[in-house]
Amino acid sequence: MISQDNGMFCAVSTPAGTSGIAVIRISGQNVSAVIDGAVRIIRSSGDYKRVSEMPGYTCCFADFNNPSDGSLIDKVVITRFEAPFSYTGDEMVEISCHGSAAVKKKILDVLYSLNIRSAGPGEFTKTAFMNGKMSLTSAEAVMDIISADSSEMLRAANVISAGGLNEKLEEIESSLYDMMARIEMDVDFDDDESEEYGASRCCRETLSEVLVKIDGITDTYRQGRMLSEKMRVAFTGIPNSGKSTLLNRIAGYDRSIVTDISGTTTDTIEAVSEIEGIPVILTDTAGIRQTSNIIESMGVDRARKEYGRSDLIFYLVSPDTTVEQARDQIHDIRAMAPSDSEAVILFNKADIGPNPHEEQIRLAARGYGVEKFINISASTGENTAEVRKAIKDHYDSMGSSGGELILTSRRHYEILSRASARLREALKALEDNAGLDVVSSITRAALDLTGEISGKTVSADLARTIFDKFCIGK
Amino acid sequence: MRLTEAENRKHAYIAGEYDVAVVGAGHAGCEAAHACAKLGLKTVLFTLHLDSLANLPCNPSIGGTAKGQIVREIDALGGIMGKVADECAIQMRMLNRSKGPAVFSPRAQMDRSRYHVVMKHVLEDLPGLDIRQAHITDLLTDDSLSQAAGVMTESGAIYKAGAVVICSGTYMQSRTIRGEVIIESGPDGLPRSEGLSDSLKELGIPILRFKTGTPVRVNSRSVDLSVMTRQDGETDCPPFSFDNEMNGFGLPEDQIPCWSVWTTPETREVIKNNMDRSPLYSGVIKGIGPRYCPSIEDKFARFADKDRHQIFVEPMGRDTNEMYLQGFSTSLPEDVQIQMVHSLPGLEKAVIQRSAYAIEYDLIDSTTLRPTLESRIVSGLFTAGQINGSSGYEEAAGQGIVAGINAAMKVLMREPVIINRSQGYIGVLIDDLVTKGTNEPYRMMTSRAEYRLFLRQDNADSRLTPVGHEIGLIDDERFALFEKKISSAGKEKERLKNTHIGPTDTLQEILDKAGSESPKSGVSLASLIKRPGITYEALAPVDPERPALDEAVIRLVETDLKYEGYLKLELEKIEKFSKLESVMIPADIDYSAVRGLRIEAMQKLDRIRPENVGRASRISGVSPADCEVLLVYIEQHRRSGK
Repeated sequence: MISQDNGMFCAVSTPAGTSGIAVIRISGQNVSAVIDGAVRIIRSSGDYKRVSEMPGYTCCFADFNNPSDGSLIDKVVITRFEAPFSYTGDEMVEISCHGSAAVKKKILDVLYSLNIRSAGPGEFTKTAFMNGKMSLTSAEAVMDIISADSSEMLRAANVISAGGLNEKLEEIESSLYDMMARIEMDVDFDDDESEEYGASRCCRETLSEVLVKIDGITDTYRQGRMLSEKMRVAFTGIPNSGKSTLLNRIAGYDRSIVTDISGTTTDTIEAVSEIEGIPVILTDTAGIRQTSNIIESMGVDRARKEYGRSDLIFYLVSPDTTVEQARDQIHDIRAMAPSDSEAVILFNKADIGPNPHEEQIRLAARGYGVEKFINISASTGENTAEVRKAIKDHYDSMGSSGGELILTSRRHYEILSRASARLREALKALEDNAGLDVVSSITRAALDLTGEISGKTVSADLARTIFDKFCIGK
Repeated sequence: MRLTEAENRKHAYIAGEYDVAVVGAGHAGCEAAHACAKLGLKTVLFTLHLDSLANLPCNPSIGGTAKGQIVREIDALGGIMGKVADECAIQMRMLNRSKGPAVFSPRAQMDRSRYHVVMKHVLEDLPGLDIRQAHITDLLTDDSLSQAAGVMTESGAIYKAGAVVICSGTYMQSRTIRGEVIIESGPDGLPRSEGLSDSLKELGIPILRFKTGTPVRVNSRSVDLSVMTRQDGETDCPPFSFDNEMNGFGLPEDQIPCWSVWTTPETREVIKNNMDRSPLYSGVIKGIGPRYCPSIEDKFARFADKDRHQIFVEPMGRDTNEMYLQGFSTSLPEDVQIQMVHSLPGLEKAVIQRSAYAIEYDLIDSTTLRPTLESRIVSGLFTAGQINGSSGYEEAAGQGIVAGINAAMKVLMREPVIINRSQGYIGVLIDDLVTKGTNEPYRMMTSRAEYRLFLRQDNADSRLTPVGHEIGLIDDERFALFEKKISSAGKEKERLKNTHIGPTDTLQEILDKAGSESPKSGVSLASLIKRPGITYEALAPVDPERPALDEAVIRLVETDLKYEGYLKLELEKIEKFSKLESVMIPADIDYSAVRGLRIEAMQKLDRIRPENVGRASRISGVSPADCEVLLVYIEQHRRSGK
């Protein structure tokens, strides 16, 4: 049976796991009256007896009972928010309870039994948006903050949420609007006044300045992408060169099976971790070698594919690695990996002794432009801190002088890249003497694009985007 | 007033029964009446004075930046202004030639009295149209007061009509102002319209008041033209009418020049010393004036850093010495006007034939209209021109033809015709007026059009002639001519794209002249035309196979090729725009039930009741965030309905 949704939902808003205190949030019209039966108010500043009688923005100390048998679940603090001045814009109640899993589960079970369903992903923010409490851009940023799973990502999301991006866009938009005004003055009025307003020169200057600014923002996406989509770090090398051991050491837990039998890792193994504040996906690729084993050779194909999307590739050299193997595989890596990725050679098993081919392999690697070498021991942990540092260094090397702002949303990045391409066309049109009308038309197209981020452009596709993003309705 | 009440009035009598009654025979009224009669409706056109039909009470010219495009569009739809203007032109120029084809704008100086004569005669000849000199004082309605039923004259004559189009210009309750002298009068000393605006107000239509103005006219015999800068017409300028263009219409050989002078420090001094006598600054004028066509004292006050302004001295016809001082409009007293004119070089001894004046008039709030220009308050009532808050002959005529067409569609019970912002300046103009409204006389400018690379004067026919044909204003013969033009342009473009030429000395010479690089291998003629500085004409020596084509076709081919890439971008923008325009808002939407709309937006949306989200997004006071909420609401509505 499909029941009509009453718009009431709840969720534990504090992190999963046991804690001292947990907060359960409830949103929906008249939610306070719905939970009245479960709450017995013990102490408050007023003389009310029910949650639904509480003035907004006050709290009380209460028993939270199971309404079916009246048994006490927990002693809680209840706060009530009135519509529309709440986060979601609907009436809201927050229950601060003790943070054990059992208490949280029991309270939620009571709420479910009262027809207050469990909130969908991002539903509080979605409802806030639907109730006009925040714009799409703000909602997007809030979603980013909520889902931020690394400290750097959180920092970036906070800058955007605080208007960091909008501020920069506004600057850009206002210079472009000024420029368009100059064009319009020239086009619509100059004939009568026949004076030179210098529109062409003004356009050239403005467009060049704005392009520098936009490119400055899009450049930050090199880091931003690594934050929002996580930096991909691949470990590769001949079978049994110690990739899995190293990965486990870096990731901090046993993610892949480590054995001494060559070729154990036949698939690409992933581990997600945070290293020096940066979210990373560590991949342990199948050891590359010519093989007749079908399962293994599929693994090798996957490894090659993995190079193609890696930001940083560690090539592990063990004492068994021949110079030819190293040369072939470094060649392979450089050929497959994206141009702004980095490769680092790790001479593993340093605890056994110096690698016999080290000098020759260094020489070969330099031939492919690989300049970074670290001697480590995955099994003893020697120098593995340097590997972590290499990850952080690569992230830092992608930094730009963009200041605090780091673009983390692919949507923002793509829109700004398109806007930048448009403005380049406008500059070209200016050089080709295509006419100020053309320059203004292209600039307007660029402004329509930036408006999709700053919220100045309304797009018909928006509703769909929102429905996709927040999974609203059916 | 109810028709039934009017019939019981003293002296009242039924004078006629029409499909459509058009009140006012200015540029809007003439187009509206012409369109209705052409569509086979029994039409009557009223004017306060027959000798002022299609009067040009201000500047003696038609067209100009953005306005020229409108005239071309009217013609493309099957209107009349372009044809009459072509016939009465005494000088023609294409403005903005250096600024790109999107803003090329034709403008022609008119023989003012001839324009009136020709237009009057054309309309007199039109079957189905009666023209009547009468003073209309009342709009008549059915008993519900919400459906137009006809009009009544001051003498009690009742004209019943299925639809009424009011184009009252600047005549309703107007008064002219020169300094301290205020006279209840229409423009050019003509009688004003009394009572009509009260009659509209009684029906619940909000009435506003605007102001505009006109400069002095002088006798050329008293003017020294030798110290002025001469400005000649152009012979290679296309006529306004596409019909004329295709039929090889030639502009007159003996075009009459215009002249220009600059104001002097003395002009500025005279104005400064008399500012206290300006009704604008003393508070006598309460109507709001046009920012884009300011009086000269306004220009000095507002552009304080500019110490001089350009004034054009324009002839008013072939058979008159009267000259018009464009850019010198003023509402200062007559004695100051004389000093001001005499401060201009060459005009020291000028004899003034008509004084400058400001004029105040009643108009309606255009946001009470639908995009068809039909009133949302009284159905069957249409308004066009200055009554809707616009300024300019061309803006008036552009609305006139749309109001006329839709009045006819209403009577014929056919689908209404709406020209949208991506189809023409007329669409931009009407959408701005009915969606945003205006708080000053609205002048069209190219910057108001989002898609102006596409809304060019040279392609107005490809944008609107199919629409005109569909409506029935463009006959089959003319449509066939149009289709032939489009198909030969298409063929020629294909030919240019498929004709490749190798490097020759002749080609090199052409390229050198344009400062263009030599191609590495064979190139298509089309790709050469795309290069800056290379024209279709210039390539003639290396293109011996080219067919003989009309000038209009060549221009179309050249512009289309040169701007192909940019036009593609424009079309993408139009597609995005159309998406939003096609998200329809349920007609019975209760905005108070849309949660999340800000109160201001809710009120504005409820007042204007836009048909789609595109229009909603252009209402001032409705933010993009409000539209997001609306879009989501409609989408939810749609999904839950399925």
